[in-house]
Amino acid sequence: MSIKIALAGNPNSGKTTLFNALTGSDQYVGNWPGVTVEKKDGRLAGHKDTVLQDLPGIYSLSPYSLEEKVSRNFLVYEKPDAILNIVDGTNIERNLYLSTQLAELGIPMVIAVNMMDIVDKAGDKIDFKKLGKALNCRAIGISAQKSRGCRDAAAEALLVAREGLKSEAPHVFSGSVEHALAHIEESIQGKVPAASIRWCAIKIFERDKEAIEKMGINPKTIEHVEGHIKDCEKELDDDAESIITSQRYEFIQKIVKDCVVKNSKRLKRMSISDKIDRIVTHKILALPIFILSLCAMWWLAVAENGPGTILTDWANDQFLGEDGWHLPFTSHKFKCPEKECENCTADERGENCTCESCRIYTGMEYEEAQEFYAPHEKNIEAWEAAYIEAYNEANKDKEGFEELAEMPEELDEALARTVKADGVRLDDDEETGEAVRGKLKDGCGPCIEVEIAEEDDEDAPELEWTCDWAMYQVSKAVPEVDPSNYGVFIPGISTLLDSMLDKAGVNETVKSLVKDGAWGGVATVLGFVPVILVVFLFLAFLEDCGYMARVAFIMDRLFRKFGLSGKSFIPMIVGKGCGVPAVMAARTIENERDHRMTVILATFIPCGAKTVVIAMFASIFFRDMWWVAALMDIIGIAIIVLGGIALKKSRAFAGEAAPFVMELPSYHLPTPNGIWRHTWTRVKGYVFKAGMIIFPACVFLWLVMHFDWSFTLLADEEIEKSILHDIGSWIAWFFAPLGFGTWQGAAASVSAEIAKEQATATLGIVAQNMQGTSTAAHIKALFGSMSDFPRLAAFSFMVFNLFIPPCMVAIAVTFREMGTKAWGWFAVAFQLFIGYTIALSAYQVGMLICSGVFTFWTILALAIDGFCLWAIFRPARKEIAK
Amino acid sequence: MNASSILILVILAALVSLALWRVWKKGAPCECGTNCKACLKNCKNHSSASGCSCSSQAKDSLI
Repeated sequence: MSIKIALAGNPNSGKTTLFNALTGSDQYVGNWPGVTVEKKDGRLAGHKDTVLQDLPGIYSLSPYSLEEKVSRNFLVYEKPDAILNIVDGTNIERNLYLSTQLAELGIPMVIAVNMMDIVDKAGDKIDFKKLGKALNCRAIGISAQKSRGCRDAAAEALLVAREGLKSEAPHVFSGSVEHALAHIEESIQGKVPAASIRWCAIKIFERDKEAIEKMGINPKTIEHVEGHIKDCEKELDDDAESIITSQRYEFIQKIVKDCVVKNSKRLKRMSISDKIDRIVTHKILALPIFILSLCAMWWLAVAENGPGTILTDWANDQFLGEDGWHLPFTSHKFKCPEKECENCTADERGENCTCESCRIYTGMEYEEAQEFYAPHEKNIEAWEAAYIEAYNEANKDKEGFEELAEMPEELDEALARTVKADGVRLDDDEETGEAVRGKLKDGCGPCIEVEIAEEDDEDAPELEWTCDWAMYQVSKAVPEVDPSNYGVFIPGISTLLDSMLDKAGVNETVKSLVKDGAWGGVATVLGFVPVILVVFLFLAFLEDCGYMARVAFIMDRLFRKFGLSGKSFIPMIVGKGCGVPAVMAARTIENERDHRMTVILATFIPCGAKTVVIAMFASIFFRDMWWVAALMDIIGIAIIVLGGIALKKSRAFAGEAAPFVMELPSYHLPTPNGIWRHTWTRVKGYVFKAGMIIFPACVFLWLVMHFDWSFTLLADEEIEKSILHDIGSWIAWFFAPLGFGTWQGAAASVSAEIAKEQATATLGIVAQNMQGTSTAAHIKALFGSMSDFPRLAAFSFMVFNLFIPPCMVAIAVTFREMGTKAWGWFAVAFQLFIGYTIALSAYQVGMLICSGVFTFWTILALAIDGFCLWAIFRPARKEIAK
Repeated sequence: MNASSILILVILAALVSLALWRVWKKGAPCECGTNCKACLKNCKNHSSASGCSCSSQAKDSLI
């Protein structure tokens, strides 16, 4: 039979850190039947027969909160073989309150005083022998974060568990209380387990109804002992529960006085935590600091040269895409591929080689070679495009003319010599997606020089560049840059998949299903893992160092001004990871009105899945405006505050804000391991979701996009007959005022209800027939085809999908938490109204500002905005205010 | 349609079925570290005053 050791202690005392240190990776998170709060189980490393059970953090065993009830019931009724009580050494007085209660349970116990590294640094001293003696158990100093003393504590707990060394309950109470307890113990002897008789007696003394009920004591016995309790209360002039509490604290004060020597110099100084708090919770600076930290997070994640973007570009183009990548930390210098070249052998390969590649690229790094070849590539592309256009123009009236789409193998030399690239599409404008004439950059190699005429300069030559047949031939003679000649080259997954399918001889339809449907959608989502990684790393750092707890405190100050409680903000911070636990975390709010309001508002904070949508649009449309991503979080918070104000003024949600009490933990320097563990848990969930949800959804979308209603397979150019096209077109009118009223926009928005990141995957699939060579270019072209203002339409699409009702699972939880269907529908309708209003206003007002476009929808947007402002700023009715 | 195409289709169908079966059994994996079904199950089984594995985990990490 395995030995069970329970880890019990105050919240933030380092239980989970100790649990992880002792169990290593051999742990799982599971829900026990019948209990309401999660416990973690893990096997003690090196002891397969020993199970560590991590209980939720609790302050006492008195039933004030759910966690305390659950932990108490577990410790009292499930009876672990031993308790390893984790005590925060930096806050020993408060932590020992629980220790005094645990010592009364009659379960073998070891006290592990944690954070000893901080205690030592502060110059404080703790006498563990005296501490252990006072509580009749063994006490050990540990530092879970530094993995110091953890093994000793576990070994000690294992020893007391194996030998059943039950500690005697410490003498905590005064004579009169002990007298009453002795009477109670006498009355219940034989009716409760002998080991926990002391604990049962104290609970009866405290008149803890739930504990008494569970003990199954005869009411007559309770009546009998009531006289002794009343006598004690009369003597000490207080109620029984307060007597127990105050005498426990008196006992703890005595212990601390005997066992702890505090550094007198430190007591006079302000702690570092206090100094930091003076700035970060400052009444004026707090909010700007919070917004700055959000901006810093998004800058790191999506700014053009930030780590998130660099990694995302690499993931999208090289790792998952078609480019491929070179093995890092190896040489990327050119090596001649011409093995049969007579001068090109052995170590001196390249130096005297006569092959064209060696002549040009010898000594160049991969990036240098790419830079060298780029103008030639542009020259070839531009000239070929010009040739095709000139050919089609010259031959269009001839009989049997077939439009030329690709460069022919045999060129019409006469035509080739006359071709000028004037007026052909050379490059796309980054903002508008429109073709720009003659836009070729400097340093265009041997052949190109662009001469751009000023619009108002009549004497200037016509837009033309001097790329003729001879120059084209020069560029064609330059060998292409083959990445495999520059060190170890690993092709992108798309390329590998492509060649694998080609080698297998798979037909084009199946190839498209696998490559464009299944892989295309999943790759679009996975390509943004780096952004998720950066955001979650940053959040994990803020959480682990203790700043996020301050954010709730800061927001409480802001919320309270408007009649809201900071308690409502805790679920919203939780919601940065996922909306589902955010909605559930609102359960801690006892007031039903505030609970409902919090459920409605909690999902407006963009969750992890919505972060992907933000990342995608930021990288495609707002690359030079990273702050747009941060703006999404700020809009989310603004909706919560303003929506809360508006709702609080209605009869259904009016009422006083609930009090909010929260312990602010000391700032810790987070460990890389802790941050990574937090981040990895979230990223892992995201990656798995791509495999479990996005993958089947993408296959389904590809199928409905490539089949018509009679289930006939359609060619790429027949997509307009597809099922998806029809369904999308039926509902596209709803999105038309928002700027993306096409079947693609409708399909992406509706499919996002499966999971928010599905919007990005769907866009990747439905845009694949658009112009461009990458998913980003396809999506850019798609929005260009939807609206004359592609950036505005993209912004509108993004805010609509961020602020409408969350994914299906979160909606289901919202319905359940709201209590009734009517309230559930109200929540969904409210969220839809907010999302639609913001998108409508952004697009219509944006168009009005950008180009003075004023339509019926502009009037409607302004009218709804006016209504919203009225709902926020109207005076609260007197009876409601009361 | 050749044999390799059919084989690829069968593999794809198997993967899709596996993913859907996993979601049906355990719920969609989630950024909060658990899965949706665990949340919904907890939510269903417990009184309105109770928490859930995800929320308590998230709160634990927060406070």
